[in-house]
Amino acid sequence: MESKSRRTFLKETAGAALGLSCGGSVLTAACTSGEDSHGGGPVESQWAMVIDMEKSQDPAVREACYEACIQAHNIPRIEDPEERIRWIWDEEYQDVFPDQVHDQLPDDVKHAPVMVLCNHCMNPPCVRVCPTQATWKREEDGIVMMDMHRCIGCRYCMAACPYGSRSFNWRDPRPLIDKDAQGNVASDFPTRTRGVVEKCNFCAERLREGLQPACVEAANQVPGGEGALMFGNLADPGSEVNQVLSSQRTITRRVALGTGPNVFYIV
Amino acid sequence: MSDKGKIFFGLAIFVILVTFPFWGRLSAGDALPDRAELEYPADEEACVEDTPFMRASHMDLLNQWRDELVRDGNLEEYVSELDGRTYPRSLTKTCLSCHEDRDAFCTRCHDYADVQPTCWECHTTPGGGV
Ligand code: HEC
Ligand code: HEC
Ligand code: HEC
Repeated sequence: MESKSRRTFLKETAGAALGLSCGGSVLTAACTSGEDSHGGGPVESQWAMVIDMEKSQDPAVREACYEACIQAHNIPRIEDPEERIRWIWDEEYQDVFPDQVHDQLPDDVKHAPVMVLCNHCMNPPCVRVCPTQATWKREEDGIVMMDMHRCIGCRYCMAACPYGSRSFNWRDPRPLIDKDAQGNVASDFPTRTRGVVEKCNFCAERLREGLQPACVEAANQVPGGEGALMFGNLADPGSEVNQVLSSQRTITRRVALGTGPNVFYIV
Repeated sequence: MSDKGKIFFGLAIFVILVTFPFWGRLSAGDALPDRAELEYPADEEACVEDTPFMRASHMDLLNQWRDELVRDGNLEEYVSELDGRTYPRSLTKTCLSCHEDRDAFCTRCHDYADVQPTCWECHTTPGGGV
């Protein structure tokens, strides 16, 4: 005991406790601990996004989305891929839908850019492993939220997320956030600090004001980008997302994992 | 000089040093004012709740707002028990819209009371001030 640091000790006990309550695997559908309530519980409503892969092939559309998100959330620009903070970004088709890749698929399809973000899953594995409930599935609207005030930076959620949707602040982000001539950042969304995990929040702060997410609004303003991203509530039968989902062919990422993504792709 | 003298001399120095924090303050002539000099909003009469409550419990009110907004997804505005006015649950948008000069209000009192809230490491002043 003497030679172990407090930090190592805490890490090990926490790991052991998690292993016990979740049968060792973070992806098994149900933990046996009986306090699964902070995993994927029932939700009163569920925000969802539909991404049109064809329309979002235009780089101008994707770029507009990414910029809007960066400005709306004061996201720092970090070059080092290991330390980058990402809420919504490009990934190659073959990495987004690995279970759809077969030998006959042409290279340009394999490497086609696909927009990715947090899937706000029905059964979010990140939520199950969080020791402080700093991340949880909000019953009111189905958003997988981050409470920055509670995050202790343990990064279990990052290990648990099969989509790599989360980023860790390895350093103080403030010096790397865009500033205007007066030294002000672009929005009043709180910046983050070194040592917390962050990710897409479906623009909870904009939905609260009756606005659409920043990326959705930005895509709609690019000529040809109208409808590249669609957003609405699954609990509302008349919503655009429900109409698209019931009439077009859509897929989600890695269905077999049972996470139940709420970001859908029109193929 | 006998050893006795040396010992008493040493003890005297020791006593002076140990009690310095108690009398040093007085003789320096910079006794603390009774309370911090604060700049109040010019065209507002009242705070969100009554002043004694705010003075004692503003940090609890902020925590309550934070939890209701972030965790419970509460979309309604907060209704004041003092005068029924409504306010968005927001540190930057609400508190700092009246207390415009954070440094001459929040910070001045916190410095006086020697508390260092870490909120501003993330939260901005209105207009993106960091
Ligand atoms: C509508 C404008 C307004 C808003 C919004 C407001 N305040 Fe105030 N606040 C005032 C005024 C005016 C006073 C002085 C009242 C008086 O003269 O008794 C005051 C007093 C206070 C005091 C007591 C200072 C003292 O003399 O001891 C504190 C603490 C305080 N406010 C904190 C806050 C916090 C924290 C918030 C956000 C939750 C906030 N205020 C929001 C107008 C406002
Ligand atoms: C009249 C003096 C006074 C004023 C004005 C004041 N505060 Fe405070 N504040 C305090 C004191 C004293 C404490 C510490 C209380 C304690 O530790 O129990 C405190 C604590 C806090 C805390 C909790 C800190 C922590 O570490 O948990 C927050 C948050 C806070 N204040 C925010 C504000 C904001 C925002 C304003 C300006 C709108 C403000 N305060 C204005 C006296 C003041
Ligand atoms: C690590 C960064 C961070 C720190 C430190 C932090 N916050 Fe926050 N806070 C946030 C984020 C992010 C939100 C979510 C904003 C949203 O959804 O609009 C938030 C939201 C809030 C809200 C509700 C929304 C708003 O606009 O104010 C309150 C109230 C709040 N925080 C109070 C505090 C107080 C008081 C402190 C200091 C004791 C603090 N926060 C420290 C990041 C932080």
